[in-house]
Amino acid sequence: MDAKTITQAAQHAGQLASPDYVAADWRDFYALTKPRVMSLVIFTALCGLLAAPGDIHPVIGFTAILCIALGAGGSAALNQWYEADIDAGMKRTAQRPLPAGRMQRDSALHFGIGLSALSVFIMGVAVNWLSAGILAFSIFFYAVVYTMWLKPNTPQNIVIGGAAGAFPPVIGWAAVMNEVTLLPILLFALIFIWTPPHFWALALFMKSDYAKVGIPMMPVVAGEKATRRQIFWYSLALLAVAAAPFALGLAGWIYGLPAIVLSLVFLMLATKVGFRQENDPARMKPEKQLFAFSILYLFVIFTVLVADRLAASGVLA
Amino acid sequence: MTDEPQQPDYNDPETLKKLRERQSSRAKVMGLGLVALVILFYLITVVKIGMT
Repeated sequence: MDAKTITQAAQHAGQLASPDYVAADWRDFYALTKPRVMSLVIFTALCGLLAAPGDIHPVIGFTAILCIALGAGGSAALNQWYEADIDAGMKRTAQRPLPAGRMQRDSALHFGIGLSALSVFIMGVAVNWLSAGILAFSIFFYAVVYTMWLKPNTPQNIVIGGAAGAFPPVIGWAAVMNEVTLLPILLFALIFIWTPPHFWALALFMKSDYAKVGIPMMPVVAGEKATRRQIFWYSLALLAVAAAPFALGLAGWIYGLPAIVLSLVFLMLATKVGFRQENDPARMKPEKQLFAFSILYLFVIFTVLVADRLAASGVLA
Repeated sequence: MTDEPQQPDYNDPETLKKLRERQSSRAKVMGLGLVALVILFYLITVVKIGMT
């Protein structure tokens, strides 16, 4: 079954409830928001907010982060509503509330729309309309452009779709400054360039899962060799983007040194993955190492950026 | 690919009990969420008034 057929089936299916379905538990609604992904979104948004050279009242700052989290949760729910049938075919996602039959599809749709609308509205009223506008666009980008259009149709899905995950630090910055300058754009670029090697490392050892449900991930469509080369080139670009805030004088050594060292380690792991040949997922240790390190990389690089900015503003002095 | 919509048997006491438990826990979580929103809106209003 190809991706188009699967998504059409998903669109026309009324619900996926199992025979023993009674009513969805609140924990299922919580699971619908992809809490683990949300934690990374909250973290990068908070870093964007803290790195901004302005003042924001703690209550307004908390509200901004809450809205970004709610928006991320809403778009994740819409993603799962649309992809329920695809999720059912993959081991990694089969136990989500919809494919496992613990929730009706319409409930997920209403929950996703409600959460998204609420987040944008509160952000606009309480924080500012620039950050609300970027938040609304990022939700639309993830739920519609990425989930419905890019993901089932092109192996470049992760490359362009990665933009959706790159918005949070920009929104955090805009919440404080009510404008978007070069540094938040570089933070956007950092996540944007980081996303393909991060996901393709995962896709290499989960290739069979994606192939089974017809999602045209790079290893499935272009082959492993091309994917490995792409991982290497993106990691090289990541080194340049990560070093840019320091090179352009937007951040100091507290950021610059760890960012360059971590990016070189990233590149080293990516080189190992990029120039080897291995088809057996059970023997893909370097790919798993790169995937695990990429998550740590993003957390550390954003942390040192915030430390650098706070030190520069005298908060840590 | 997908299952047909299933209608639980609400005449079954076990099913009804399970339904009420789920509804109750969802209502409690929803109630807590609404109270949190009320407090948040109150604080936002106080901060916004203070700013002007």
